[in-house]
Amino acid sequence: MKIPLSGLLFALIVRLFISMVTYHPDIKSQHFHAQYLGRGVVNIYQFVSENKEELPYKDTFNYPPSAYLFLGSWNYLSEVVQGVEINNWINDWNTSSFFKTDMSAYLLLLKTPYFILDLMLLGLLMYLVPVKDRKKLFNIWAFNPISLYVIYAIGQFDVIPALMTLVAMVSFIRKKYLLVGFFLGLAISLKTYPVLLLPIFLIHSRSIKTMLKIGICSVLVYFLTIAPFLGSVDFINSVFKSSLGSKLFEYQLDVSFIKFPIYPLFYISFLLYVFISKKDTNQLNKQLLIVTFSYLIFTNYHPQWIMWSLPFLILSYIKKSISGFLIISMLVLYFVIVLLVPDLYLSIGLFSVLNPNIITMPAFAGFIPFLEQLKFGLKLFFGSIFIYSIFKKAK
Amino acid sequence: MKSYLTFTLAFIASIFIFVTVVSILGIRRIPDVAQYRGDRLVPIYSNSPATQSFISNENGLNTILINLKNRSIINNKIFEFNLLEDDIVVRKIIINGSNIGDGDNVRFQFLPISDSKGKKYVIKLTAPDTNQGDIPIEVSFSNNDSYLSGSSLDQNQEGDFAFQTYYKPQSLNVTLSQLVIRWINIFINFRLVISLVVVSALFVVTAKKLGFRYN
Repeated sequence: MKIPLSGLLFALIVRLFISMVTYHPDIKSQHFHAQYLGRGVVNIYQFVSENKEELPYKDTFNYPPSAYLFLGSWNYLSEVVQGVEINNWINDWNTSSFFKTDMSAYLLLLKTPYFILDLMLLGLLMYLVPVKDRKKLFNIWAFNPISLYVIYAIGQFDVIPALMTLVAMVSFIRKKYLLVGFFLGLAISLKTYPVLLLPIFLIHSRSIKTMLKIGICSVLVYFLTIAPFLGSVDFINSVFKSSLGSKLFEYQLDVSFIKFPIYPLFYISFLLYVFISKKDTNQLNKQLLIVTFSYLIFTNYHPQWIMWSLPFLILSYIKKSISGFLIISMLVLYFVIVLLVPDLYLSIGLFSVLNPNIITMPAFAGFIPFLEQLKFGLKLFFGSIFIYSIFKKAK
Repeated sequence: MKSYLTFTLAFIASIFIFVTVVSILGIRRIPDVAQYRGDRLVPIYSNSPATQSFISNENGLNTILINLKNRSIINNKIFEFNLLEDDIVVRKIIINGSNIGDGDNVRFQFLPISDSKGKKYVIKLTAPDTNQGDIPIEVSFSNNDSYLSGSSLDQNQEGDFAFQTYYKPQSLNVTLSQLVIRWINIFINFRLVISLVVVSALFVVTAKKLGFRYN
């Protein structure tokens, strides 16, 4: 696949720069727990519960075991490269840790796997589009603000399940159904949201045999990753009580004293629509986009979750299913809503690497009245327009 | 190539300009002296105030953060913060116990002391209406002498408050020079070179393995 060398070089430079000069506490908290894999701790959930009082960081590890394995492995390799100082910095939760100028080096190294996974995402996207569209796709991938913000600034690992779900979609198109199950199961074992995509694949399956292949394989892969921990109460409390399930019912519609959870209502209606409509694999990308994007609209989302929709969004744009104007509007809305989250580190606090004194500033959202209502209203209004536009284009 | 170069340079420059502007216009206090260890809690009653001395490293002292605990936020009595210099109260803040959380850093912010550099101050926390038998406000203490430039003076306490002081930047030149020095130390850094080499090498190898070819 041909790409402009200068483009790749500058894409790398932008990513290196952002990784070095931005910091969000999530990457530190993830690696705080991950370091214990290198010290022989397998059940991190039980370890945190039993040692909470002695640990400098008291929060639980809320991700599934596969995430612990991935982060722990990279943390171990990072310590090989940079020495124990990297974990000394990770364990330092005082304000003084911001003033260490080695912080940039540590942040860059901790974000390294995401450079590779992001590149793999690009490779797969380019495989899916005609040759004439590859340069356009490359430019969108290289410099889109969402990737740069979520992957390299915040440093979250949502790019991994996003890549897996894209691989699952490609596998489905190529009729490699066991691979669909495998990659979906793997994606679910990292972040729970891909379980929402499983019914879409099952509905598109043309036979019971295909459905069983996908369903059983994904469940089996997921089960194998969590089986050793199912007997651990700490694991159940840490992972299942703070994940997808709790968010699904967050926004509710009050109708005559009955509360209807909005997202489940939408989701079930959409599944019915997919079930009734013609099973066209060309629609698969848009349907996966609608499921992941609607989750952002109808829940109090974390900004990194938009990564789940991004591959499908880029493909839809390249295939002219969504207009550029709509994409730009959605981007602006996304960042407006991010600014409305009362977390300094989602905005100016990211640059505390360049000036640690930034952490003494208040978050912008703290000055805005009726914050939650404003966020919900903006998301519902503009998000609905966006989803409607995708439907309209599909027809 | 020109468009990529222009975009990249403009992007990087805009980040530096943004951070500089925010630093000049938005930052009202900069951390100075600190002692973070909070190993135990010491109660404050009307007959047993808590004190801590410290030396300010900078001019413009304007905020002190102290780790306090008001169990279940039950105590709603008067709580006083006094800042003394040579036994004279130079700053006083009176709050209500209900303003103090159940294990929280409480911020005492006051008019900047423009000539605070190098001077010894004493923080004195009192609860004039909290008697023995009442639920007191408690202050976090380290078990050992963790802050060598000061000490706790009353209650025969071995350790030091868990506290942090801040100062207001006194001049633009100081702010800008601190920024530039920090950026030089960040980017001219051997550890950063190691990380850059590792990341770039992995990126190039991955690009080749994925079959990317350049034109």
